[in-house]
Amino acid sequence: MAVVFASPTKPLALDNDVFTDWRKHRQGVSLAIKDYKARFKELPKLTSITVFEARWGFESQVIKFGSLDPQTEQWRSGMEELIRTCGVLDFDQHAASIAAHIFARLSQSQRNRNWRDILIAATALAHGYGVATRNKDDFELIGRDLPDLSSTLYLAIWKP
Amino acid sequence: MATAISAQEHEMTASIVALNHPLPDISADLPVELIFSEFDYSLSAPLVERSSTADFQWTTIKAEVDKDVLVVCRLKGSRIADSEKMRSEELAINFEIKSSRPRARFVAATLQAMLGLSGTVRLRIPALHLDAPLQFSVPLDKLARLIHGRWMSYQLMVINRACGMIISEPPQLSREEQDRISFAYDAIVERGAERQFYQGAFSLRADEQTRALVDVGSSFTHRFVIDHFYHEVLGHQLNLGSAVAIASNAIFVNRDEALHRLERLDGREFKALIRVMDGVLKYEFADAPRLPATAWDEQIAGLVEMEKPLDELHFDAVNKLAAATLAGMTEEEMQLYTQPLHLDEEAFADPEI
Repeated sequence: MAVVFASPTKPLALDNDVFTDWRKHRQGVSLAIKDYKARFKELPKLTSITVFEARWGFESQVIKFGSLDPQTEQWRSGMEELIRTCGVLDFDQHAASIAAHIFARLSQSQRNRNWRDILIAATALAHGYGVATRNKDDFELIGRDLPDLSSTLYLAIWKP
Repeated sequence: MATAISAQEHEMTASIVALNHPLPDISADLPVELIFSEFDYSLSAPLVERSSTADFQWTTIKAEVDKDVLVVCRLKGSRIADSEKMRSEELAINFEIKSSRPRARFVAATLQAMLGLSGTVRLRIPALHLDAPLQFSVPLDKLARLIHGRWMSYQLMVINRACGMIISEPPQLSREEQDRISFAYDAIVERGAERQFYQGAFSLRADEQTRALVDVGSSFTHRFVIDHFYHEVLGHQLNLGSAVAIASNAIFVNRDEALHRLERLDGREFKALIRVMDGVLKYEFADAPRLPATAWDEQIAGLVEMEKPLDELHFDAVNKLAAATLAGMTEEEMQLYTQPLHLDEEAFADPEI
């Protein structure tokens, strides 16, 4: 039951903060992803939680205005292509079991603050991936309460 | 002629702008040439099949780019009335793979990725009277799959060549199969590989040296030799020779039990549960099979060298796409489309019984 730094051979999924940094063209994250791709010959994956968060802003605009203007539609379509290109790890039954295990062992305020990170960590663990994040402390908190069968959470800290 | 066992995922098409030329001469025997000036690479492929519909709307040419790999060019056009000429509109290219050899998949995936990432490719198809620079538009997600698939095929080619085996490549590889292939590739090429590892029972000798490790109580490095390291890849057992396994930053999970086993230092072996705090077990393979210096013929060697440019061109395109998903947004829009979802304080309250 531990958090360790991911070795260069560990496949990674992106935390939301790193995904946003990449979209904001932050140099540190772009270089880390480039280096990762050169090693694995594929991009880091996204989790379905990140997809959910990336989409909900657009969906809320569709509800508000009935449709998206052409520029926003272009942003959304670009983001969908980016999601397809990275590939997505599903929040499946195994991930749900890991998340439930962690949730029950945190306080309500910890769950409230970290629910997204818990779901991302659980998804990554269920698929044998580590997490690339800039948010080390919260993932270390999550890593304290991992189930025995998914006992090591691998983290890569990517700064913008 | 062997039947195609698979075609690559999708055809790639390029528009041809108003090109008038003589009707196809499907009796012509000249090879198809693909010239990738951006990659400084070209190839010439002999024709193996040709056919045309009566109205010349579709003409299909198949040429062999490598053993068991055909490039299939389908020209769409229309005959110009009362003439021996036609107007070409579109050229579609696909690849047929006639065996499950990794080499066949590697060649097809590499060429397809090159077509998709080249600014322009010059195609000379004498039978179609076609000699034109063409641009193929391929979605980035498809290119991602091609580049990764190419890499898996290449690793299998290396394993086959180094170990003298013939391991076929299935159309789909699970994550576990991919990991096993990459592990064997690293053992052969890098002479070392890693496995994610949490804890396990290791054989230790009840002697002064082990006792000293347990007494210190802090983390240690545990090394042990595996005389014959066998590793399974797609149902085939590979002998990777002897291996040194290294567990750095290791601790005894149950130190008291280890101390109990060490009460008598009689040299016998006992099992102790060891946790590797780095989460990784490293292996060194000094005598694993090696890839011969001249492993590949000229064509394959040329395609192997495409790895870096393909990877960089694809990454640059994806990186631009990532930036474009927010480009031109106001601060307010940026906030709206990237802000994390917040829940109110009552969310995730403990269930009440």
